[in-house]
Amino acid sequence: MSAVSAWVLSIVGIIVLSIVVDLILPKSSTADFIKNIFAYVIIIVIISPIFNFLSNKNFDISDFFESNEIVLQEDFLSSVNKQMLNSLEEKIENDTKNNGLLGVEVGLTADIFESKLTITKVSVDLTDLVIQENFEHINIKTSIKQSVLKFVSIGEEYIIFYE
Amino acid sequence: MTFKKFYALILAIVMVLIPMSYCGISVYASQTDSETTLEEELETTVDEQLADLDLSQLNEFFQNFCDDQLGIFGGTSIIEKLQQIINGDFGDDSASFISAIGNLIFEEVISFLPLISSIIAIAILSSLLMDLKGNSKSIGDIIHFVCYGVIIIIIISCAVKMISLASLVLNMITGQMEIVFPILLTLLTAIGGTVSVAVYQPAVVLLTSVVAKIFTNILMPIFIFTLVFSIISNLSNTIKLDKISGFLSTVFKWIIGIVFTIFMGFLAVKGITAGSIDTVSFKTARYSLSTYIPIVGGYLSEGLNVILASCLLIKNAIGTCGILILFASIIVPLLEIILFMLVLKFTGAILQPLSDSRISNFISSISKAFIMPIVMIIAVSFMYVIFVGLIMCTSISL
Repeated sequence: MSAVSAWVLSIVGIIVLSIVVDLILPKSSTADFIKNIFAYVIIIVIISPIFNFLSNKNFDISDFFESNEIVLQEDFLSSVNKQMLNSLEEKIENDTKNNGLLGVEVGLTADIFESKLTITKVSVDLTDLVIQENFEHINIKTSIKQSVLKFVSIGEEYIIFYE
Repeated sequence: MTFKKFYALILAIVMVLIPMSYCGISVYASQTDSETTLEEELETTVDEQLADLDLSQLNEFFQNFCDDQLGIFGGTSIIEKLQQIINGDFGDDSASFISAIGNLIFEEVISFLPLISSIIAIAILSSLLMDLKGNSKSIGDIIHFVCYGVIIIIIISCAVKMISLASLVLNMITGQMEIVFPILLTLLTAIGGTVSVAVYQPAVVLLTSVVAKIFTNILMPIFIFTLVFSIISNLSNTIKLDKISGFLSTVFKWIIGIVFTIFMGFLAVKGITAGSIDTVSFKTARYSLSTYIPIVGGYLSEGLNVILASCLLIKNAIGTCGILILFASIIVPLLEIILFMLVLKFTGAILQPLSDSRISNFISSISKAFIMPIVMIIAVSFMYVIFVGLIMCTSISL
């Protein structure tokens, strides 16, 4: 950049100089001659750096592509993922409640720090389990598995029960 | 002149784009009206997520606004404004906006009055002295030289202010992009637009570093050199260099045109494809979930939908907010530069009847050169607005 501004400054300088000379010299044939010489000099000043630019191989276009990375807000992503997991857990627990099983605690395991949420494990805590009267005949585990599978598409072997 | 067409095109597209962005939001807002419980749930989720999101840098920008800009932006704090946008309360903004701009124009024109009057006075003085000089040619030249020098000093002192203002605005727009885009892309990732984010991330880098560098390191110097050449080409009648400034302005036009075309083409093609891929993958994921047990499928997505919908709302609100901040922050300097250009053009027009046309030519060529920074600011902000608009449109249909 400094080379270019030096070039512009030299053009400006030579033009101002030629104008001053033009003002000072009295009208004569020598003055015309000198004016012409200045015109040639101006052309030389304008042209000369162009050859330098062309022969200069150091020009590096990759300077323009140095970039600053865009950093996503991981905290926010993980908190949204956590919210999603919580809402899923709540839905599953509500569903089991509707099937007459109270006190079932569902825990979903997933890597919340990944941008795409994949659930790897579903753990069901049955320690506080209370079965409502009308529903005593049902198979607890199948019922819970069904509720889980309504909301999470995951293999049955990844649903783990704690009693 | 092609500048003008370019400029008119940009303005037209911006004017179409801004209302579009508002429509999108109000539609989402009115859909939830039917179910109050869902709406309440949505509101609480939005509040929670707004609390989670790191908006401190955006807020910092907002705190630096002066009164004029606040009048244009029409709000008190960034969170409040976001909630206003999410709820769709835009109603009474336009009046304050128009009055703020009106006041601004009036103030600026008055502040330029001393500039015009002193230039006109000096030009008339120079022409009077020319009449009195008699037959000597060189004395006339010297008178012109002196008066011209004084006018140059007056105009340059203002022009330098405008140049620094323009480069400040360019840097500020880049800074805003660096703040707004990470937030928008985070929200886009949160709603599941991973492919779009993978496309937009390099595009943002391209915009904030490469395009911004081209603008500040190549186009800005070209503008300054054009200014310099238009000053020296009118110094004397014998040596003319206005062709060089013509060459430079052609180079400027080509560079800005190429950058614009490449960037827009890149964005439009890649962004639209990626958006549709995301929509498809999201829909198939949902179908695989819902077809598992067909009856509860729709029911299942509701719980997740509130979270995703609030992410979407916040994303669009931040997009709109970003555009509003951009407008509020560029409109003052942009108007100032446009008015400076117009005032110079007017002065040049007034001075034309004077016998020596050099001063009038000089002033109008300076004003012509000042179209460049205006085009630069509008082009950068236009790319920014288009980009934000694209990200806002990339909403996975819930």
